[in-house]
Amino acid sequence: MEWSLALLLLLGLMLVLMLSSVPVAFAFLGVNIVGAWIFLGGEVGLVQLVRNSMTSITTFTLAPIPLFLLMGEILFHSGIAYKSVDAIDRLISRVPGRLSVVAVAGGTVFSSLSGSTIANTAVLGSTLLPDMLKRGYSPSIAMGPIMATGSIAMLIPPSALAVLLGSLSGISIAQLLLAGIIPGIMMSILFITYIIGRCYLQPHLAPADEEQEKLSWKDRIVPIFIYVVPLFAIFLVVVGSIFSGWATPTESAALGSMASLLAALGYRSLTLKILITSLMETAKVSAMILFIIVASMSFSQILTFSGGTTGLLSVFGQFEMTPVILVIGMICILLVLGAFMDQVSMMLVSLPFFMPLALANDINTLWLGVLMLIVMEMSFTTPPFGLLLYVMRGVAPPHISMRQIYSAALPFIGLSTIVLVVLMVFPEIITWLPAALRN
Amino acid sequence: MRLSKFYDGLLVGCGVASAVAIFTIVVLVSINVMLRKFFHFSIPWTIEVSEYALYFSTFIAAPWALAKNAHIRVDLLANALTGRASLLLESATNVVGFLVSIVFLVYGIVSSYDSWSNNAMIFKELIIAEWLLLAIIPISAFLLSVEFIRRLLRAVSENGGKI
Repeated sequence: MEWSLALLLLLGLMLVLMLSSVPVAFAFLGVNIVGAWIFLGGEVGLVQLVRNSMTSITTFTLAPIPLFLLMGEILFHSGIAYKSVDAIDRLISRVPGRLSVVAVAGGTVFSSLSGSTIANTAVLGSTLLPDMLKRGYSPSIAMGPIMATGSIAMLIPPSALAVLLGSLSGISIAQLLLAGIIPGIMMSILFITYIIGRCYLQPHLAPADEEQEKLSWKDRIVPIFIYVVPLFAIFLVVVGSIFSGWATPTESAALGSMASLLAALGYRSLTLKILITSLMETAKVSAMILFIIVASMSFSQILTFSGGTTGLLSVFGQFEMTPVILVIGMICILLVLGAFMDQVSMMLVSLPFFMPLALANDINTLWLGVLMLIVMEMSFTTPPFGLLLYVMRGVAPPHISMRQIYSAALPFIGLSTIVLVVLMVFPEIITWLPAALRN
Repeated sequence: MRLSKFYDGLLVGCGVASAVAIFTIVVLVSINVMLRKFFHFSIPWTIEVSEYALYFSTFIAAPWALAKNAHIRVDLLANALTGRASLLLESATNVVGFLVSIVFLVYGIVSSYDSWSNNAMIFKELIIAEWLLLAIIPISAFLLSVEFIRRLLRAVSENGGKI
């Protein structure tokens, strides 16, 4: 079969199945069955497909995914996450848009403890949002920061999606985790600056709350030392063990989960029921993610076997594009995909093409990886399929419309674009930290 | 009705088994790092058991995750449709899911049987009969196919038995 026809068949069938709302994993599996029958030789191909499904997931490098998710679930279900957000809430005062700033600061702290974006948005959405709306915050300045910081979780380690990206693309997982730290903090600072600036210029968006200003210094500072500072030990365990080289990313994830459990025990917030709930929620989400991976690994193998991958790459090769143009093209493709696909599927569809293309054109894959994470983070809040928009819909009061949620997300998508452009122009911001630590 | 309840219980059991597998990875890998760091000793089969646990937890939880509606889907079209068209789409997606599961059930059995009759073994730190691992796929596929049928029947019965 001509490679273009093979490509059209495989990608076309996948898109049709996906858009007909067949669960993503089963859409991939369905295409795999057709592809294996045609390109891998009928029944033999199907037996091979089953065997591939086993080997694709029997790998240690994917294990951090459930473990990082577990960390977030433990902190979420034990209530520790809520207490630390409350402590940050007490600390920050006399700032325009105070609670929105708390959301970004709390979100950044929590994202350094949890690998789960959804847990992040759910925690902040359910704790801060009702309070913000009650105090007369406009929905746009109340919800925007919560959704935006939900996605910082993807950049700052532990990040389950960074692990997935690393293991699928062959980029070093440890370096990818470290490389996300500075861009994540940059984004957080930019968000806070924007909130303060906008609320300063338009004070009606976020009325000042006088009650909070009456708190004594002691009431403000002490909770931080009880509920936030000790939690940094968890972050240090994860990042420190990778930094120092005495643990692989998977091992650091296991230690991080252990540290979260110990923290919950230390706060006397861990019961058997909470442990079971956290583990069951982790099992559910990780089965969903890993099942898609099972399906998609075979998909990219079949795509290669059919000649589709090399065929398309050779077409790209004829244009002789500069690396920067190529990366801009990749980002545009991701933004389009992100409008109707989730992050895991986006990676799985694009990586079989992006990675060989990047390697052939001497593009720094670590840099590309972080840019991809940011673009995927943006698509988390891009209508209509931004997952966080729906999580927000789930936790927001019923009178908030989907349209309000969309418009709240918009300015933050703009800010993320600024960070993206800065990182494209100055790749050193991404590559500096991993390189410095390696030396 | 009783059968349906039994099946629901079975699926929850699958979820629990998956959760236990994940917890095993946490405990085993953590202990191994500590042992290596502080006692210069490591359990050689840690990585291997964790890999099998990851594989097991994924496949065994997949049917339970389906019953819990946790498998993500692009629901643009599903949300836009109403009435009969929506039911037709819902039925069609369940039929596709069922067919996919059946293929994995059949070829999962074929692969496991081949492996068993060839006496294929996996030699790493541990020596394991390969069919034991492969057999998890047809088990998962069987549960998935039943769940897709249940979803199809539920969709049809909610519409008064008509498609």
